[in-house]
Amino acid sequence: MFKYINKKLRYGFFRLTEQNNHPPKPEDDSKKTQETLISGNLTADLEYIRKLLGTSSDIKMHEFRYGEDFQLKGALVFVDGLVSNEILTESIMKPLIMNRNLSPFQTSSMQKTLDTVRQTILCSGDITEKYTIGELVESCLSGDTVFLSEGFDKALIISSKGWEKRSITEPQTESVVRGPREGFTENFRTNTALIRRRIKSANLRLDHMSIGEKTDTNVCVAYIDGVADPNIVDTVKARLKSINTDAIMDSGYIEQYIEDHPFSLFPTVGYSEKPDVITARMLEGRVAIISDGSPFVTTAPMLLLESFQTSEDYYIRPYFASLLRIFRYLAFIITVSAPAFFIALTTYHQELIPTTLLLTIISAREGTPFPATLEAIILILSFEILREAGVRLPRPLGQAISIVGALVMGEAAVTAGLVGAPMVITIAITAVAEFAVPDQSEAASILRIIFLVLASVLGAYGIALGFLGVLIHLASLKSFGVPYCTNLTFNHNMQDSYIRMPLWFMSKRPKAIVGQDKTRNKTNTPPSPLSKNSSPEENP
Amino acid sequence: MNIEKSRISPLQFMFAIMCFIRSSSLLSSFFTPIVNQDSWLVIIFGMIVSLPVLWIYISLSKAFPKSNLIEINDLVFGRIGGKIISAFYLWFFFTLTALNLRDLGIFVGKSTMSKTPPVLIIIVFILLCAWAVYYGLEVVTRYGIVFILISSAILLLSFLVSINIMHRESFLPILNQPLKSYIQGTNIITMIPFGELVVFLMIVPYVDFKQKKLVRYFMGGFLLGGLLLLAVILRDLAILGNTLKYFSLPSFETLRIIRLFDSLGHMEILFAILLIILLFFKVTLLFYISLLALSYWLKIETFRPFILPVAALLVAYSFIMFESSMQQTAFAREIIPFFWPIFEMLLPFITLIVAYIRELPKKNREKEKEDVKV
Amino acid sequence: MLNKFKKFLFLLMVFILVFTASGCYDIRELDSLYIVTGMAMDKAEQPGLIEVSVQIAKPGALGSGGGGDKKGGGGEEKATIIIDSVKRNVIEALEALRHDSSRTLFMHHNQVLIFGREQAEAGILPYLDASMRDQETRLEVMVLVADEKAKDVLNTEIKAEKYSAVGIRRMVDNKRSISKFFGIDLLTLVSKLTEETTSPLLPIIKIVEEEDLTRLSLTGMAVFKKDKMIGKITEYQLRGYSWVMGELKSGYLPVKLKQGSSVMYVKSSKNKLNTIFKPDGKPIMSMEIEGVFSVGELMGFEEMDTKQIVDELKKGAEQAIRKEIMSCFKSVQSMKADIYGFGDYINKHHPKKWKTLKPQWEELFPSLELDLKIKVEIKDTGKILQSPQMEIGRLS
Repeated sequence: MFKYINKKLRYGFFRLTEQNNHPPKPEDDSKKTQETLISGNLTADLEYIRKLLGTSSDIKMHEFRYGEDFQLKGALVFVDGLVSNEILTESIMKPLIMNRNLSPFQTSSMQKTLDTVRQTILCSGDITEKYTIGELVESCLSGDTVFLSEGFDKALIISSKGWEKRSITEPQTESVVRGPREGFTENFRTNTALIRRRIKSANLRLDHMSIGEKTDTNVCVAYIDGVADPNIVDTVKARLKSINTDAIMDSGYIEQYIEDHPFSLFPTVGYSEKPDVITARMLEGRVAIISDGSPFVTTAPMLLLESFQTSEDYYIRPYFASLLRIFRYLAFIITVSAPAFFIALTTYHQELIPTTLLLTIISAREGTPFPATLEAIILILSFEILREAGVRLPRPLGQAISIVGALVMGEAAVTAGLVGAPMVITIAITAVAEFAVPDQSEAASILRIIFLVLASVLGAYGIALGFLGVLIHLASLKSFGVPYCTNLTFNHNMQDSYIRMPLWFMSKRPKAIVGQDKTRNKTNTPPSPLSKNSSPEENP
Repeated sequence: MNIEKSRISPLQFMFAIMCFIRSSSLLSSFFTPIVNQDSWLVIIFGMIVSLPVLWIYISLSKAFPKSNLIEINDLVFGRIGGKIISAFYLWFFFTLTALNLRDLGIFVGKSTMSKTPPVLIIIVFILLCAWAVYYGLEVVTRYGIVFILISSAILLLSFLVSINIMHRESFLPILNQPLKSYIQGTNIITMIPFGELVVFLMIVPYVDFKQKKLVRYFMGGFLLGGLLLLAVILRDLAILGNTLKYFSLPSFETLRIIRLFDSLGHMEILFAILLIILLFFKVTLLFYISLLALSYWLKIETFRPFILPVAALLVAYSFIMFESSMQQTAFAREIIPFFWPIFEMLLPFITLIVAYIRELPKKNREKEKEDVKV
Repeated sequence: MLNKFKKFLFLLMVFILVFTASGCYDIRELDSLYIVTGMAMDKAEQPGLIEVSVQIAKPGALGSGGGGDKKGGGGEEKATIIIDSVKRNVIEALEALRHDSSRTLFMHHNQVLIFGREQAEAGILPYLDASMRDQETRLEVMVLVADEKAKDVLNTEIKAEKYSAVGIRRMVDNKRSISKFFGIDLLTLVSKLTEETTSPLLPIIKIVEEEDLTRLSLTGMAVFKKDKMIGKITEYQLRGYSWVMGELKSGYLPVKLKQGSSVMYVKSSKNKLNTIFKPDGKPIMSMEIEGVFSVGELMGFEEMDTKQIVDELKKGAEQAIRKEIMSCFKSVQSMKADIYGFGDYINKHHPKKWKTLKPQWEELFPSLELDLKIKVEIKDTGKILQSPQMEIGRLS
């Protein structure tokens, strides 16, 4: 059977590749256009552009006259909606048309005229010269305004990006009580600006590349030179370059193309929506990948413990932060294994339940029709369905669904004697605990079912084997050359792993990730009132 | 030929030794009926007796820092002699693995799954071990530290919880048994967990040692592991008292008695899982070492294709070894004390002496220097 | 990549096959179990046979209404079932019970093991083996001796408790807070039986019939010689035993003096045992008992100040303790039962001397001498410093 599927798949692949290879002519054509130089004949050039871009309604070509006695002919090409109207009128159109001093006869060469336009007339900080139609079209499509003029064989590209965009808002996914509330947006520049604003170091690098044959998405590899390990930076860049696809819709695409272990349940590439988190990770030596159109910034390499850390851990004092972190570990263990333990205890190891509790559980289960395992699976399934429905529905409706699902159905099922109340409680705890570690919730949902099956087949022995299996798997994972559970196993940097030590104590950056610049603080002594820096008034 | 490319840290090595010894606490019933309330003394005796044995191991690995046991044999005894002696070791490693595998099957059967056929328990287990071994030494030893910490935490917890049911009187009278039983007990404890450390000679070359620290980490692992074992026996003895000798799994029985609170259940499930984890560590390590030895012996590039066949052989071997657990205990008490010393003391000692006579370490060093120069 | 995926699928299928093939041998659904809460062993009428009865928690009973009034017609349904079987061995009887009912017996939660008096007198050791060896029995199960028939004890209801066996366990636990010797679990029993000369004690449980109520009561302890019951000691005497063992942790001590009487709470006790050997080699057990008390109640003692009272009380308490100890000691001496484990103590601390003493211990014990030093400490006088009565006496 597999052979058959395999054959089918291969056939499909073949066909796909064939289709891709089949029409070579337009590709040659487009290559030609990319190399076609601007002729200098305005109408011919415009005609050519029009042919390339087709009959799209949002492409505007505005021809006008300017200069002394309006002797010069010019044209602006831009995409309506991508350019800012304000920039277009105030900084480009107005100065060009209002200026009467520019005379074609005053200038000795064409280069000089264009320089004058660029240097004295246009009010913009980002103007470049382009010579081919291809470049011209490209920049026009990414929101710049193209200025062509009769008789000149080059064009001025004036930066005028200004489309409608979402403003910076509090992120939906990683809300905090204490800490910055701004989140990344879908706008590429805003995102890089948010990072740049937080790291005012000259060593911050934002290396640009574009991925996707059709979408041509802007992607930026951000890292701090010296802090990031150059090997990791190179690996990230190489993997990004090797992505061979036509579209990048979200940073999720990039994550899946560059991760080390595509078959693993655990994510080996991290992400965040908050600039403070991303900058903190970059300061630990990680590399961030910002992709246009996605408010989630990807980071690599990722360690397992990263999922259990939140930005707030570092903003509040260490005791409570450590406690919370331990709770998160517990929550993860509970969400993965609570139903499994319940099944193992009630179907294999009843001797381990305290006598009175056992009698209570028995009387609750008396008369329920299904075996315990089936009951657990039914409940887990219905919970997952409820959650999915709640997420996709409009918010007010989602709440209604959860009330109907959780309260009405759960309560009714218990009173009707279809499921036992202890099982409902177990699944409920499991479901709540899942949200304490959102990064690993996908892995947790699947692991939970695996553990459940193991427990129902082999009892506690199965659970032990399951844990060992997960541990082996985790030990074998690597993220960009860094072992996935590095500081889980007391190798180094334990000051920020199971618990969070005080900030002044974390003087070293994570050894496994970081490049040359290894120290964070010069000294790791606690702040003391007697130190030289403190003002004398503070000392009583 | 370099099969194992990854290197482990000295700390990992140390905790691997600790884990290895700690997991032997399961087997305390081999000597508890012989020496009863003096079981703890026997462990101390065993540790003292083991010191010179360890010295042999350490000097061997110091003399040949870059070769494992099989390579040392080849260097010291020549190609053919080395092959023959290595074959004995190979058998020893496989037997150890199979023995531990069997112990696990029996333990799981006795403690939790009384009706499940042990074959299935063992097959599932060895598959998991095979998976870990597939990834190599780094994965095999990775969690030693975590396992030791967890087991120590549980040990500490059980001490705290059971402090009111411990009896000082349980240890009395001290040294009131025939000399013979002490010798027998010491011999067993020396041979079973401590002498088995000879297997670590296989992985010493893959540890990132600065030479001087080898002694520290090897001895550290041995002493700490021994202390953990001692603590376990002390606890069992203090709680079970003179009934210790009746039980085939004393620690398990102890944990069954301990109650966290009056109504809150029993800790034995924790203990069972913990022991399975520790045994997993031991079996995986032994399995890995057997495979490593096999591949060096056969001079093959990788042992990966051998993992599953060897696993199948081990399962079969562990089943045909003994007919019953009584036979196994008898084997542990009567045969191991005379048979194991050959591998754990005699052969390493001979190797050391021959190497000394042939002045081999020196040659070796010169060779290394040449290598460096080249 | 496709090749890797195939490998992955293959491994996955191997794992799934192995796991599903290996599973479910030990599975026990909850609704297929009879949870045994208590077990009783009686000598059957036929010689050589044993009657094993088990008390089972009836599963449905818990769910139906918690506190229905009992006075209503018919009364509440019993929450337990008792089934029994007469066979030669314990396991035989249990297996018979197991296969003769709709559900399997589940022994792990057994709370008490009660021997009938006749069985206790005939010897209990043969039947303990099964309990020790069986995977399902826990060593912490409480062992008791019924005053008459053990099955009847299991059958007696305890008012506040649904399952009488759990109730018995709680009764024993409650008593154990006075001294741990009030309840003996299987492990302690076996440990005592292992010591060569020590006689185990087991609590006796008795059915007390009052006008319209039958209830259970723990009255004294059964004294065993080896594994056969040979006599009884009272609760009062057991306190004497506990003083010697240094294990009396709570309870009270009534002290009666000329000037008045008092009840004192026991706070803690300690004993330092020691053996002194007489020139002829005979041992004397010397002990330094230390009791810490607090005053619970004072009656009388008019016209005395606190210091005087405390001194008097100390003397009185010392007398009372001595009386308790000697009462027990004399009683067991007459039974030739070394319940204290003095023999074992000598074995542990003077192993060489013990070798000569051991053969004649049986004769030595009844004439063994005690050297008692009792120290009483009164730590606390309760919430009030002076009794109102004393105040009145002084005023008048």
